[in-house]
Formats: sequence, structure tokens, C-alpha cells
Amino acid sequence: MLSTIGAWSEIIWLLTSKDRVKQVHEYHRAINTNAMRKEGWFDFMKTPRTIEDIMNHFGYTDYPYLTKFLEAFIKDEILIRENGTYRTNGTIGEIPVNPPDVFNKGIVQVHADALDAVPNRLRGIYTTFSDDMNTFNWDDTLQLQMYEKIRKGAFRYSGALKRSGKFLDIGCGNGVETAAIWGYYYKKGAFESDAPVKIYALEYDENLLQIAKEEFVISTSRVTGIDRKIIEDLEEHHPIFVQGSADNLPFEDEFFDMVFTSQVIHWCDAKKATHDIMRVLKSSGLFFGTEAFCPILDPHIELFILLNEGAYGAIKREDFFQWAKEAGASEAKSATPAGIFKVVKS
Amino acid sequence: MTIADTITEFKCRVCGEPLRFDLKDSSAYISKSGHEDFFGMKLTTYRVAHDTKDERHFNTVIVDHAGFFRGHRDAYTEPLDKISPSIERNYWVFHEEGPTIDKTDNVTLALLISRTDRWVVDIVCPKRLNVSETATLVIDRVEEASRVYDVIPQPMEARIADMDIRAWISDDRVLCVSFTNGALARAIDSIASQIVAETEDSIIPRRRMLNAIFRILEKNPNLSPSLLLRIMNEDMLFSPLHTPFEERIPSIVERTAQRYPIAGEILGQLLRGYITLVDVLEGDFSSRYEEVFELIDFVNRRRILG
Repeated sequence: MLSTIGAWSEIIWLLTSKDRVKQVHEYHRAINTNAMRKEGWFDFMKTPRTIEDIMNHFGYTDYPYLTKFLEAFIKDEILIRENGTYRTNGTIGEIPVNPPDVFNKGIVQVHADALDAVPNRLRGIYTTFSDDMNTFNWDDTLQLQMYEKIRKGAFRYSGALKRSGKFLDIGCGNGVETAAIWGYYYKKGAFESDAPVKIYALEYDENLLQIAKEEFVISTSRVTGIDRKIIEDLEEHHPIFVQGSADNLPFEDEFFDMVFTSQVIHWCDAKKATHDIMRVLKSSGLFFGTEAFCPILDPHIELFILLNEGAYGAIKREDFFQWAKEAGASEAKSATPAGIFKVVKS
Repeated sequence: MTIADTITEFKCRVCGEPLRFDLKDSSAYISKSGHEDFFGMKLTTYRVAHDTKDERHFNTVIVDHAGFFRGHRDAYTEPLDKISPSIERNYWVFHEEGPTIDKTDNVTLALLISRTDRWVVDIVCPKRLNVSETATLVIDRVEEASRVYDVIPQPMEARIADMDIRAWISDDRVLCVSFTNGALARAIDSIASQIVAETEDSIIPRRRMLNAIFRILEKNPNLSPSLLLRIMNEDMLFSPLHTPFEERIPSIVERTAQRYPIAGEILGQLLRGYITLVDVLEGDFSSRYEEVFELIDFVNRRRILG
């Protein structure tokens, strides 16, 4: 119970404004609507059209992705579905785009660039984390305070700081998260104990991984306030950075005591990743983190996630727990709308 | 601007007069360097002079293996009445790429001398000093030491006029430094072997790079050898930076400055190619070299540079 209160206390600021969830939705709804307006959807759909009409007219090839897009617009009452056809709900003008106050310029630019990638995605061409200015923009995005808050919530909920041994941070991105986690354990004296924590950090994107690895000391000092010299002197306790994917972990079975992921599993094959994480976890090991489970994940954000090849999209909490149990979990539970979870292997 | 099998033509960089000289006639030029390989071309540097009414114009030109003129390395003027009669013994003092540092708190003299091609770069040098004669005397001392020792102690210590000097020596080059105190001795010692090493990419080491190193060392005598080596080997030191995201430069600068405030002062100009890294390091930012390099690494890792 106390751990649940701890998790809530970290993320409560995200929810203090009743309108914040609405802000996020309206922002994504606006940018997606404007993008598809630019693509010519709403002029074309003044007359009722079938999915086949839309695919043929625009040269789209990805039926499931198109269906998800149409569903999101129906939910927002921008489109109306009748007898297997889609038409606009009146005139659809340009919608003002107001980024939520929890966003920074990096994430806004990521979304703006991603919209240019939507028509290609509908034609079967995916984008990556490293396209154009994405490395720069994602690096900025991952500094967002909301990521720090939900991470802290996950640590409080899971009790991970009371454990030791090998720790895997999956989807470490630019390493800011790994730096913060290293700082948590440093402040707990975990690197001075007889059984020190050893952190491994995994990232699929090579550009972000390079930043994480080469800027570890700089990032850690910046996010934790620990002097650079102290961090440099603890080199033997620095994380080991590894390139790889959550759904194909480059580690032996039962190698880790703890595995952490925060808003990562939806970027890969979620079921396969859950199974593989359980595989690399030792008996009684802890798998914890955060995941915006369905239906909390906004449908428009899911469309954005699905621009990347291999992304799973929104995950149902029940499915996730089921996958974990199939792979040997004895306990799986979650708290808060941010999807803070913990799974213990039997 | 050339040709013939052995005749090379070019225009004097000082006065614009067309000049020609025969590569096979050693009396047609003052000195020449060894070959330098540059993307498959064998380049040689020749020092050529011609006289006007009361001046001698010295041109140092790069010539390829076919005898084609490929560019100037250096050019300067001396009054005819001050030209030494024994010019063939003189060292070619490399004049271009910024001024010599007159003196620093820790160093009174720093010369880089070529033993084989007879040039000298006066990095730190008082105006009253005869650079060519000093270089000659330094090399005399080195040659004397090489007769005395099987292996010359490094750094070799000697006295030239009223100056105590230390010299780091390779087969091709000598770095000669006279210190006012011991503050920079260790730092210079840590990079001297790199400075005197023959490099493939430059017949003459870049004076501005050496100047920047000495300026930075003045600000921080304890500078780590790794950073000094970084400056020496930095590919981007002299080249204008470029970004494929030109229209986003204001946003890049603003966002980068949130983590590196120095970005607000220099990044826009760097990304637009108005200034180069060496301009930054030899100017007001020489004391902030760590921030400068962290900034360059920051934007480079984020694939902002094209």
C-alpha cells in the first residue's frame, strides 16, 4: 500500500490539472487532423468512401494502419462511418495546435517531423529514431520532467532500490535515464557494498546509444548534481552500454536481478519482449517500470508510435500480465494511470 | 596557371606578376620540401623568389608530380637592402596564418623547425629575434648533440645567446622552447613528440593550430595531454562547419544553449560557416576550450553537422 502511495505521489503532478490529459489529446488530434487535411483526406471524403477507395486514391498499402487512423478520427467525430464508408463530419478546417505545458520544443519537433512521415507510412515506408533531426529532437524529448516523475514512481512502487545485483535498463535512449538510475544507487551507497549494483543499459538506436555511452559522466553530473570527478573515479561501476532490442535481448538466461523499462515495450514486439525479459531475469528477480497501457495511451499517440517499424502500439494490461505469467512470473501488478508495474519471477 | 614538363608557372601572390621556374634547375628556387601524398597526388613545396625595384617577393608554392602549380602556401616581402647574402643557409620563416605570439607569461620562445626542408614556424617569438639565425643555431646544437650521444636526451637542453632552451627532436623536426618558468614544461613535454612527428596531411604544420595550443596552455598549464592531442588531430579545426538543417539553426542554437550556454555565443556563427573552430579557440574563448569542445561533440553526436 505504501509503495502504491509513493508511486502516486510522484506522478500526481501530471494529473493535477484536470485538463492535462485533454490537452495532450487535443494537441495530437490537431496535428494529425491538420496533417491529413494537408494530404487531401477531407476534400476526398466529402463524398462517402470505402477504405479501398481511400487506398486506391492515395496509393496507400498499409490497411491496418489506415484503419487505425480512420478509427481515431471517427472517435473524435471528425469522420462518420456509415455502411462501410467514411465521410467528413461537416467542414474540417485547420485546427490550432497548442502543445501541452508538459512538452518541450524537442517533442513538439519530433511530432511535427513525424507528421511528414505519415503519408509514407501509409504507403509502407517506416521512419526511424535517427531520421533527419530525430537524434537531436529525441535527445531533447527524453529530458522531459514527466519521464523523470514516472521513473521515480516506478522505483518507489517496486522497491528496486532495496535490491542489488545486475540491473538492466532497457531502452536507455540518450542515457539520461541510466544516469539518473546510476545516481539513485550511488546515493544509496550501492557501489560501496560487497555486492554492488552493476547497471547494463540497452538501446536499439545506435545514435542515441553513442550519446548515452560517451556522455555518461556529463549526463550523470547534470541530472544528479554529483561532481564529474567523483563519477569519473567510479569508472569500474559505470554502466555497460549495449546495442540491442528488447525483443531479442543479447544476454544469457537468468543473467539479471532486475530489469527496468519505461515507456519502451510499445516500441517493439511487446509479447516477445515480455517473454525475453522474463528469460534473462533470475529466479525471484524483479521486472518493473512504466507502460501506458490501453486505453490510457491516446489513439493519436499510438498512431505516432506505429510510424516506426516493429512497434507494437498500445498494450492491454491483461495481455501484458498474461505474457509475463506465461514466462514464469509469480506476481504481476500495477498502479496509477501512468501504468507503473512490477513483475516478480517465481 | 602552368605548364611544360618541368616548367611551372604561377602568379606572385604579392604583386600578381606571372612567374615561371624550372623544377629541374635547383638554382631556380631557394628550397624545396620532400613529397607529400595527397589523395594519390605527390605534392612538393618550392620556395621561389623574384625581385622588384626595391623588394624581394618570396612565394611558397605547391606543385604536383606533373609540374602543375596547385596553390600557394605562403608569401611575403622583404626589402632588398635587408636580404642576407647567404640566403641559401637561411630558414624559410613561415609567415601566413595569423601573427606570431610575441611572448607569454610562461614561454619566451617556441619554434618548430624542419631539419630536412629548412623551414621554421615561429609560434612564440619576440619581434627583435632573428628567427632564421636562431633556427640555424638550434639545428647546429642538435647536430652537435647527435655526434656526442648515441641517443640524444629528450628534451635536449642547450643555451642559445642568453636563452636556455629545451628541444624535442625527431628525424625531421625540432620543437625548441625557452621557458620563463616550469609551469608549461610538463604539458609541452606530453605533446612534443606529436608536434615533431612527421604528419602525412601537412608539409608544414598549421601555425594557427600551434598558436591555439600555446594560447590555451597559457590559460591552463595543466591541460590534459588527451585534449591537446585532440586539438592537434581535430579534423574540424580549420573547416567551416555545415548543417543540413540551416533553416532550423535558430532553434538548434536556442535549445543547445539550454545545456551549453556558450552555444548562444558561437554556435550560430559556426553552423553558418562564418567562423571556424580555430577562430573560436584563438579568440576570446581560448579559456573556455572545454566548453567549446563539449559543444562540438554535443552537436556532432546529435547528427546536426552535415
